[in-house]
Amino acid sequence: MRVVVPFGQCQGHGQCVMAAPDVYTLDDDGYVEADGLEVPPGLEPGAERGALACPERAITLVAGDAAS
Amino acid sequence: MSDTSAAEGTCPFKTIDFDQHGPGYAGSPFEDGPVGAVLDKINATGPVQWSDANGGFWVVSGYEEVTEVARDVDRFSSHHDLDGTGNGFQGVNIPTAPIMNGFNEMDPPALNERRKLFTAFFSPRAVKEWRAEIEEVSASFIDRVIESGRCDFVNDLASPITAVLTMRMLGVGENNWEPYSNAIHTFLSTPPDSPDHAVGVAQYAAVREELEVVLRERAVSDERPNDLVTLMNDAVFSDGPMSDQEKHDTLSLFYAGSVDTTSTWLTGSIFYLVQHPEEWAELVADPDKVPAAGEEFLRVVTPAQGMARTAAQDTVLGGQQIREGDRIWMAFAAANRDTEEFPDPSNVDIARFPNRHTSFGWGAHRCIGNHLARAIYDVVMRQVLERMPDLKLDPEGETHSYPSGGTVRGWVKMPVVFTPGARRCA
Repeated sequence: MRVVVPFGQCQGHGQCVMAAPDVYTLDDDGYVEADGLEVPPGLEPGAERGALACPERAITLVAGDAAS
Repeated sequence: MSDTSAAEGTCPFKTIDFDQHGPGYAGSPFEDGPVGAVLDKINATGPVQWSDANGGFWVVSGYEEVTEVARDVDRFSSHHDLDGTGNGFQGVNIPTAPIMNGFNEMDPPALNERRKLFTAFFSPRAVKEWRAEIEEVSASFIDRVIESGRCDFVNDLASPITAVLTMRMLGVGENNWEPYSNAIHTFLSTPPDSPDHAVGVAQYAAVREELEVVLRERAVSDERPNDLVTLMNDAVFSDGPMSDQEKHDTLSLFYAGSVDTTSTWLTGSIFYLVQHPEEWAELVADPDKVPAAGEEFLRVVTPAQGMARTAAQDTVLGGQQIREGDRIWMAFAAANRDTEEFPDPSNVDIARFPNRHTSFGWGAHRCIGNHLARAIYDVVMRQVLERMPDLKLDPEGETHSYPSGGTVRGWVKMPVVFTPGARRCA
């Protein structure tokens, strides 16, 4: 599973990190650093929770095998 | 009613009887007040409708429509032509305010330069560095009342804690917080056409004169503390350094945006929780539930009730024809009760998820201090839950809401009682 956050869509609410701190992190200005991230196996539910929490609907999850 | 705004091909022109500063919209946002019913009635009528109150404006209440307005800075302008020499746009308050609201009343590209400058100062990482200081200030104000077993939650705790922290971050001297707070409270809590509001405007002007003195002193000082005055004095934008006028406007924006909203969030949460012992006990037992509960109180209380825009072009919104120059009010509190987004919205669910409320806005004008507000909220709530675990409304006291709920839905005072405890600091 891969995280997609189109450039400019994150507005720094930080709700993804609040919902799933083991998946999402923020940069120095408070914007998510997750675009292109391969979700480690087992953390998919957290990744989905973080995407659901985003008020800007900026986070999309794309199915795929992290190992491939 | 402005029939000229109706056009062919759009829905029938919808009007409602709604004045956000009127007595029918003041009071508690919870089940004991009229506000929820007013908002539900607006939502039942439609997502966008016209009100003749306050000079006439579109009330945008639907969740999708509010986000559409907030995100589209090309169609919906925040610009405030204060001296009336430009396009006549009236900024983010309805009715328009006699002062500039800093970069909250700018559009891109000027807005983007300001946001870039201040975003890092209020980032989650920067706020983490402030955490110990927030804890110290909160503890010291609780110390002042803890031995007596009673206090006014608004004026002894929520308001001064946020005021002192805000003034430290601005860099304008925290000892003077009371006149600043009084001016802002009066300005934000009273109907704009009332005598009390005129008092607030005058107090606000006096505060701005004091800010001028502080800014003049700091302009020639060699000291460079980590605060917003230093940041502004160093700033160089594409059109040059920040003018003194803009520095005042920006400090006022940060102060007005921070103090009443954060203290209202805290007060509203406590007001509800002490009257709902099961949820209060749940948070006392597990304070790690505070952040999620806080998001729910942000939704239900909606400290900043709405924000205005001016249509920068003819456009259609929620099926209604909007004309260039029309005033528009994003009713954040109504969007926070839109059943399409929030199932059973009148129910206060302290574990609600997801909770994509409108209370900090979206996009280019999203509340820049939201991480700071969340940190102050978390610290104060945890300390109150720990040190005042049997907190109750004072049966001999009276809780009062702001006379106008149209700008900030706040509380003037909220007397509380609790079992006295020991001070923590010397």
